[in-house]
Amino acid sequence: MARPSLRRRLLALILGLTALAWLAVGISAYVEVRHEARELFEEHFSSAEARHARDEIVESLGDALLWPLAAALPALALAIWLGVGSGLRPLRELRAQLARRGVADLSPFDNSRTPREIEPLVAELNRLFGRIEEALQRERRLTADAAHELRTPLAVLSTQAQVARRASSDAVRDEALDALVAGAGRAARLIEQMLTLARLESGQVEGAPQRVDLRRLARDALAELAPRALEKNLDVALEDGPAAETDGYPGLIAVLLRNLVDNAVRYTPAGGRVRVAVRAPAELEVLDSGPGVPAAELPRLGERFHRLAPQGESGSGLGLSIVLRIAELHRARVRFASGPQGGLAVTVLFT
Amino acid sequence: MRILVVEDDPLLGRGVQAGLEQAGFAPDWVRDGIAAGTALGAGEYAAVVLDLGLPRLEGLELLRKLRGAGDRTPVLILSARDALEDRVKGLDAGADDYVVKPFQFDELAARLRALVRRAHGEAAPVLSAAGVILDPGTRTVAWQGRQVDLPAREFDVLHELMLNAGRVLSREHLQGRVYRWGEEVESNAIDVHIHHLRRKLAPALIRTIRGVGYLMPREPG
Repeated sequence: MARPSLRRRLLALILGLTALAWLAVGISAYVEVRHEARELFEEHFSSAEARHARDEIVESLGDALLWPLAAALPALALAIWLGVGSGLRPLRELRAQLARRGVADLSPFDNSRTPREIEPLVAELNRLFGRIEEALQRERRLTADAAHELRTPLAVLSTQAQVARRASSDAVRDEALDALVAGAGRAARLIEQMLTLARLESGQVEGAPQRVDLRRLARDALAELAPRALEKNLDVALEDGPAAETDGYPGLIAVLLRNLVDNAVRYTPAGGRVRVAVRAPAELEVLDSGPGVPAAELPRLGERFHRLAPQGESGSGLGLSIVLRIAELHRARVRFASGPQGGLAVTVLFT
Repeated sequence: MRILVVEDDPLLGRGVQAGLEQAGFAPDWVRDGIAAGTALGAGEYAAVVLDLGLPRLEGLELLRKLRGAGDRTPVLILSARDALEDRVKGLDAGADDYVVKPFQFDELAARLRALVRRAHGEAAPVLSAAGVILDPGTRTVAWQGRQVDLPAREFDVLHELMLNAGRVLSREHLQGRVYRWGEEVESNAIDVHIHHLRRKLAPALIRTIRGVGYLMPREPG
């Protein structure tokens, strides 16, 4: 079926209504005049000649009313055709401008001369361009950051490999090879975290939300990371407390917990402590006795690739970004604060 | 040749230090901008290898501060940031060279040698003075056309004297330029090196200025 045309629709509508109105006026005038004329003639003139004259008057009245309509309608049609066409010119220009645009051109359209009826549409388009531009810029920044972040572990691999190749003693070679293995592990972890975040960002979530036992997930996360904590002689524990449940994706909440506990274990010096608490109705807290985060830095936690001063360990700089994204997907709130004995306290409040 | 490596990543910092050591440099390694500023205060480094994303004091800020204070130590930025803008900013902040990670040690070492050479106003990569020819690239020395094998520290002392030919260098200066932090140094170590150099090359090659230090004369004539 042909797409409806604005011009044709307007044309039909206006011409139809005009003709209808004209005819209505014409008919009512004709009927009225004929009636009045009959009465007039019957009272004063009753000859056949007078009756004939009367019929002629009425007839010419009908002609006078109808002929202009017949002549005016085509003129009107032409005027409407041209008028609508010129009224739609801004739209045609917009179309031409859009057609000329390259993929990268997201500059706003000049909206100063567009007619009032089209202005909101163009303004909305411009706002959309703005939003796309922002998203693209975010994406570009992320790509640049990611390239930068990937280059460092690559540099570690390349550097240590070169050192190993030139090593003059077994001790130097072994040290370089150990660093090479550690560097490869770090690169793998970084790539894994980047992929996780990319999947979360694009909203690829597997499965459907279900009832999640937070205490059980916390226990699993601690159990998984306990060996590393013990190596560092950290005192780790899950605090006693009530059962806590929420609706969510168990896999993602497990990732969130693992990242928080992993951070705590990573940044707490040997001999320190890590506590995980689960509270009703649905709250998680991970607390450590590490160096903590200066108050001024707290708001920046969770920015991608933002790292604090070096502390012997080097994370991917993405762990907390992942935590924040998972919390967002669950409409949960995350609060960073200093713990009671220094250290960092991260609270996740599910609703 | 003493080099200061400023790199916050532990695996990479250790690697750069080890690699530069293999290339014949005497590198020290610090992990943040403040520590780098302190280390540079002593003025004992022939060059600095500087990472940009540093904690406590950003690499570029450190660089501006150094240059602002009149420090002329050659600085080579070693960064993972490869954008044109970053390279321009780095050089304009006072860096002498810019190398993007990952890198090759051969290139890094050659660039450092070139920086040190230019800092001393030398154009030729091979130094020559008073009949001695010293090649920093291959770390070889020839005396009157004959190859002479020198241990690393003696080479470094001779290198420093030749880079500053015609100038008197104090024993402390030489010691600061040749030995890294934490190395065990005998109080007369430099005198011993000079003694060995004179024996292996020529007794009159290095002059002693009593109470001041040592001097290598410029090309005779």
